[in-house]
Amino acid sequence: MPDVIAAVDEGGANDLLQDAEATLGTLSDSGSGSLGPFTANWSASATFSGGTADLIAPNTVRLTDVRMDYTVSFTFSFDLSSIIPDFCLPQVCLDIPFIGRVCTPKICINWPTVTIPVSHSSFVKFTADFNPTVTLSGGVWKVDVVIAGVPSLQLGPAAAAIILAIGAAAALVLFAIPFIGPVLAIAVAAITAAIGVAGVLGLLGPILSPFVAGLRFTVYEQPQLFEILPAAPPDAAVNVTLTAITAAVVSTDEDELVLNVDFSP
Amino acid sequence: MSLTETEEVHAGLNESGANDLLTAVFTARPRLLNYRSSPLIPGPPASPAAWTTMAPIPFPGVPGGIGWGVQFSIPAIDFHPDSSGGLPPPLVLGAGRFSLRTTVTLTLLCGTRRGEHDPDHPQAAVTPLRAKLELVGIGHTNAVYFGTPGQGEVTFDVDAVEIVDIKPDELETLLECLIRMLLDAALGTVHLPFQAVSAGAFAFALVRGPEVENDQLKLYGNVL
Amino acid sequence: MSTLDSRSLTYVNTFGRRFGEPGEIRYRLVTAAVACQPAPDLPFTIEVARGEGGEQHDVTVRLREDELVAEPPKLSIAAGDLVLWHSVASTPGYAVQGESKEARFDSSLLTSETLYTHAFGVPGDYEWTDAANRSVSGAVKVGSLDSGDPKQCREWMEALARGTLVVIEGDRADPPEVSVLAGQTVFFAVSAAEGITITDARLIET
Repeated sequence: MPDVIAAVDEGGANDLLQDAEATLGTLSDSGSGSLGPFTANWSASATFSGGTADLIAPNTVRLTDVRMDYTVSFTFSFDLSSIIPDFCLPQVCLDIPFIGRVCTPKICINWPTVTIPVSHSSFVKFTADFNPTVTLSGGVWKVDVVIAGVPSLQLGPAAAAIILAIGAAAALVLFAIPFIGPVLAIAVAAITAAIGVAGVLGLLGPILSPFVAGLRFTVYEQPQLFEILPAAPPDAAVNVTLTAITAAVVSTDEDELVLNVDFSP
Repeated sequence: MSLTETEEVHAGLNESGANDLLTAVFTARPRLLNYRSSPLIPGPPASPAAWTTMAPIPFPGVPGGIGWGVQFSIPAIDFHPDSSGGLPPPLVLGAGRFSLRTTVTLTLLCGTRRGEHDPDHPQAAVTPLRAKLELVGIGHTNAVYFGTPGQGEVTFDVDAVEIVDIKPDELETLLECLIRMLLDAALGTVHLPFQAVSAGAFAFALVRGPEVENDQLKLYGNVL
Repeated sequence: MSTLDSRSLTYVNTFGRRFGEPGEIRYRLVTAAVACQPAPDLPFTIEVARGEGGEQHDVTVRLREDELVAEPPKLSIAAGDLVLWHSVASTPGYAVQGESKEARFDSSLLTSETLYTHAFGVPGDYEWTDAANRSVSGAVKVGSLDSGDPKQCREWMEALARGTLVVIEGDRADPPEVSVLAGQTVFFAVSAAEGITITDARLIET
């Protein structure tokens, strides 16, 4: 029999899950990806909360309806001329009393390269199976529940909202471009059409999926040299060495996550 | 039957683990098992830091008092049910209790009041006399929860000891009582935190325990 | 690029000057962004011959190998003709500085018989003033249109070809306030002045 058997039932596991989610804190990442025909530089952050733990023997912790709150910020740049045709003001002639008839030349407007910043915050829920995993690294024992596989994230609603956000952001940026007024609506429509919901999904999925794919919650973490009692002069600290740890889900009349620990003086 | 039963968390310390913990405590803090009134009480251990030094027993006419020493070996604990091979009567390992085995070494600095010794060095003629006794005891555990998840302690009380075959019986009874008091006090210095019982897993608020059964000391509680 | 400031000419502006006296005019093009710079040569010329005048001659300003060039570099006109400088998109802001035996001129200071045009690209209310002496000021209200309304769109396309005139004489602008649509051109014609600018009041430090 191991030196210590520590067990937690599903009710306790749910509480541990909430604590572990809070401890995980905010995950962040950045990079670049495809937004339809454009390249976008992005940064994103995510936090996790909620969910229900279901312990399934021998080795599964199923977390249902875990909520991931995320914020994605990205910018994409493009030559506006690729979206809308160049536009020319016609020649303007005027009779000026002390100068004579003056005609300005045709002025062709060269659309600039624009950078559109977009930010969007929302949440998505997912259900996934996790496996308890025991590691000893750097003199520290850890028991993590690690996600097994990548659940499908339902990002359709978010993509639709982001398209609208792109349109609004584009309108804001383009509005300040001289002479854009008459073609502003056309330009915004052309931008959102070029990207489309599929383009947003093509960017959003690869951004958010890694946050979930790499998910692991720590349910146990102790140094291998485990302190029983701290030093209290004149007495030294009292330590034992944690020599072995196993973790599994055990099913009897209820399901429990069980840790077996061995140590030596 | 589940481990957690009606609570959310179960922490079970096996008797082998309990003995490892006691070994760790008394190895790091040997002064909790070694008591003397004077360095004239010889070791082992040799280091003065491994002893708790106390006052000699004062007695009229005994210059400097009576020098004494009491030492225990690291106790070996057995949680109910008995797996030690049986206890000497009248000891019985009842449900929820533990038994322990240890040795006690009593040392007396034996000297005379006058005459044979050098008056300038009244202690010089004392002779340490030692007696080492095997003893078996039974006791029970206690738990104190401090109100914060994971913050609590388990302590050990010695209820009775048995030293076999000391005559007359009244002397055996006297020594058993004396040694029980000393052992209970020495073991009483050990306060095992809850996290020692659970090896640091699943901080919980204590609901019940300690319960001693199936060779384990068990605590039950809820995650807050 | 479309800032209202005659001190810095861009592709939405023109600068015009009527040359009334025969002679040779030599001029240079300077980058307006650099306030103080060694005076380069006067590489471009305008030969003003005797005549009745009344014609317009266009000079296109471009950036070529990091230098501002005038096309054509040499112009022959008759006295009384107008020379109109304009640039193309991507040309940095510039000014025209020239001199003859009798006089000097600088597009960044508008004097008599000069012209500055500006095509307004962004709707809004523009208060303009003379950055040199605060001698004259005015306002231009630039409106927008609903590009989804076909009628408004048609009207706007026709309006683009119509210019609006503001005549500046001394410290008076006539009219002091004009209203145009985004895309339309305002002609600021200086009949008499010692040297003024047409500058968005927000650009001038108070």
